[in-house]
Amino acid sequence: MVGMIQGSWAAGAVMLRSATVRNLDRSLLGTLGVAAAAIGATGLALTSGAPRYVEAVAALPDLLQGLSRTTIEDRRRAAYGYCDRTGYGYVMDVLRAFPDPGARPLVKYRDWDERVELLLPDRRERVDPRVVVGIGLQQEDFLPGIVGVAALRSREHHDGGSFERWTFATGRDIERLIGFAIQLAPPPTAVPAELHLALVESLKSPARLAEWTVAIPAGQQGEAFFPLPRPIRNFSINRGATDFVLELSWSSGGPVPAAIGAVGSRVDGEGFAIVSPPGSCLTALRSDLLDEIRRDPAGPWARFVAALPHARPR
Amino acid sequence: MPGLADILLAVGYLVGLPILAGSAIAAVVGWPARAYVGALAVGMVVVVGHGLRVPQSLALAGGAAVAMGLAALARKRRSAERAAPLSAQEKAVVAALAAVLFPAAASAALRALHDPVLAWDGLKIWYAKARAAYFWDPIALDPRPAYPELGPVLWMLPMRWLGPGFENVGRAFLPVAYFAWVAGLPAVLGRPYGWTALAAALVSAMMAFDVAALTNGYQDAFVLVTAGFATATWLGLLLRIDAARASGDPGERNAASPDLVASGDRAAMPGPPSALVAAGVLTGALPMMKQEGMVWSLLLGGAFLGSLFWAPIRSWRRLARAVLPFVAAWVIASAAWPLLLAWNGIEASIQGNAFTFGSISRAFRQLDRWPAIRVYAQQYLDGHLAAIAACALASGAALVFAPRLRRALALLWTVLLLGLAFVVLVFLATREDLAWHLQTAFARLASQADFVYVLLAFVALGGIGQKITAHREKARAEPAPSRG
Repeated sequence: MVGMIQGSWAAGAVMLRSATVRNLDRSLLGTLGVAAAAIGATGLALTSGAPRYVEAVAALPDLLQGLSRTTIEDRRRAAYGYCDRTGYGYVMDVLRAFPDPGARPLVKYRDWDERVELLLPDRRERVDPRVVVGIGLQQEDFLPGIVGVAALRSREHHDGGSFERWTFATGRDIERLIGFAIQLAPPPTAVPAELHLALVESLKSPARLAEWTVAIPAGQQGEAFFPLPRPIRNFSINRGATDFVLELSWSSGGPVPAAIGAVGSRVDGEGFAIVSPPGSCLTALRSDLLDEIRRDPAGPWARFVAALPHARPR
Repeated sequence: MPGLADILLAVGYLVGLPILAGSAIAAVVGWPARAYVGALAVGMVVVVGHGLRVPQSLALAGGAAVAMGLAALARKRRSAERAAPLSAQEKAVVAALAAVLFPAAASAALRALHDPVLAWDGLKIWYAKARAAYFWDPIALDPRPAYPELGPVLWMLPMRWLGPGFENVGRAFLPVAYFAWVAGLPAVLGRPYGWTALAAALVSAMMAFDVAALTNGYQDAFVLVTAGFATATWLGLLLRIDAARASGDPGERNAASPDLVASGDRAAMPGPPSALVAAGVLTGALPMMKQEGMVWSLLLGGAFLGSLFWAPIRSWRRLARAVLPFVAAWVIASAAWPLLLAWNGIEASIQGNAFTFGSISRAFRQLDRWPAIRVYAQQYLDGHLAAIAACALASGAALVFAPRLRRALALLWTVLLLGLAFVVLVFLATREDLAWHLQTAFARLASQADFVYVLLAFVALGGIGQKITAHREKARAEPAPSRG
């Protein structure tokens, strides 16, 4: 910085010396003003840009060293990750023994789609849905669990009963929603009751994704699981932080919810079995492909399973 | 395995463009702009071929033909320009500028070669488009078909020769283009190239230099560089008009008639149409790079044409005839991408449903968004304080000291303010989640305007330096006053 200021002053001094009263048809005061402004501008411009120049030039040795010691493939594997980021390394290793040269497995991630197919050196247009590769996924991501905790937004009471609106977000992509775990507030209902539930797209969009009624037996208390009539697939893909809305209504004397949790699984793993060794990423096969492997234990798919890479830690 | 079309294109690209550049170097003025126009022209031909769904080999051969054709044209014109070779001092200035800029240019280019594309949009939108162009997928199949693809096509060309795994080579194009732009800045102020122009170019060159933005695959720096080239090209013409007027050139009789553009230009360029066509192509190429490039194209083209009304027009017919090369190139290039979208049945709305022309009126009903936008505007101003202050100080000094720069400086400040106002308008109008959109796009969109700081600082400081040099030479030429 000091060097820059000195440099700008030096540049200004040169300009000032050049711009003598004899040479210029301007007043001395004007000349001094122009020179001072030019000096200031030069200094500020250098302050703005010179650090980036210095930084770029200072990076040259490291860049040259990196380019001379590594191949582009080394750097791609380092940048794109193995069982993290895009999972490029793991997917490349899985593809090494993949029997279909024109296809690729269905790759799923912990958070959002990293589109590893864009990085593959050759083109594999078709997705074989019988093979799922999970990057950063574990066995438990195939199993149901609480995927979002709801918060009470509004409550209305009227003569005939009550209406409550709860909202929840999943925070990451959830492929399968199977129901809701609801904690009922004491005291337990004295008589059998009905709870009406409606799952709404968002606060802005009133589209109803599911509606159902559950029977609450007399004396029911504590937490209960209320499954959806049919699981919702591709439930919250690329949705970000937008809240879902759950509307509940019940007649007078019915159960009062105290806490609600959405239950689902990160991966829609119905009919799949994990065949790769445990690690930070996995490979799962659909049951029909597993049957095919059992029928042909020396076939290409059996060899593919045998050659699956050991998932490394991230 | 590269085919015949790839080899032809390689010849056109790797042989033709250097010839084009070399010829332009011989012609002294604006050589980087010409090489850049040549590269863009090759890319545009391939984009049009892609959009029209002609076979890829034909589109690549068309690109090769354009590169070789432009090179041949440049060589032909070169013979007419031998009267203006570089002086020894000018050669030294050009060499010094290149020597100082080279390490930073090399570092940025090596960064592109070293780091695989990883940034979110750079990979998932723009590299995806480059890869789709590589495999010649119909543009309608792209997840974001309305996003223009000139950048991805230029990114893709080296992949044709090296394979799709070598996407890094294509990304080295942009940092090289940035330094070609700043290396050509002295041409804006015209001949002869003095040491003051060199100093001003060096001071200004780094003001918009951002290695990450130039190498991460995002296209905002592509807009910046191209808008910089476009503005520098027509600014050079305007400054020559103003210089001619200030020096009492006979052309002054025609005041701001653009045939003065031609006469001013003819003194230093191979011919007026080539400079005007280059300015038109560069300005019109912006909508082929990003959707907001259309706004930049209208802003820059409008600024250039509007500037010609600075003084009274004496002959509208001559005016129209003189600017026809610019307008024709500008309109044709600007219209190419929207027409290709229409031909492919793709809706050309800006950012999907986030920002449409109809939404501009909505912006004024959503002025209550300003407090959220102001936070990002403040961050922008904080980050650009030194650049803004430098440009303001230099402009003020230049207005006092070199009044002939008034028009150029006024135009640049107008472009900067309108460009930044457009960025604010985007966020007043957007239908996307405002917080998310601001966080992911404000700084990037605003960065597209950074080329103006470079040009403002260069024109103002270089203009002051040029004036000082002229006074010194005048003083040297005058006899010393006798003492009696």
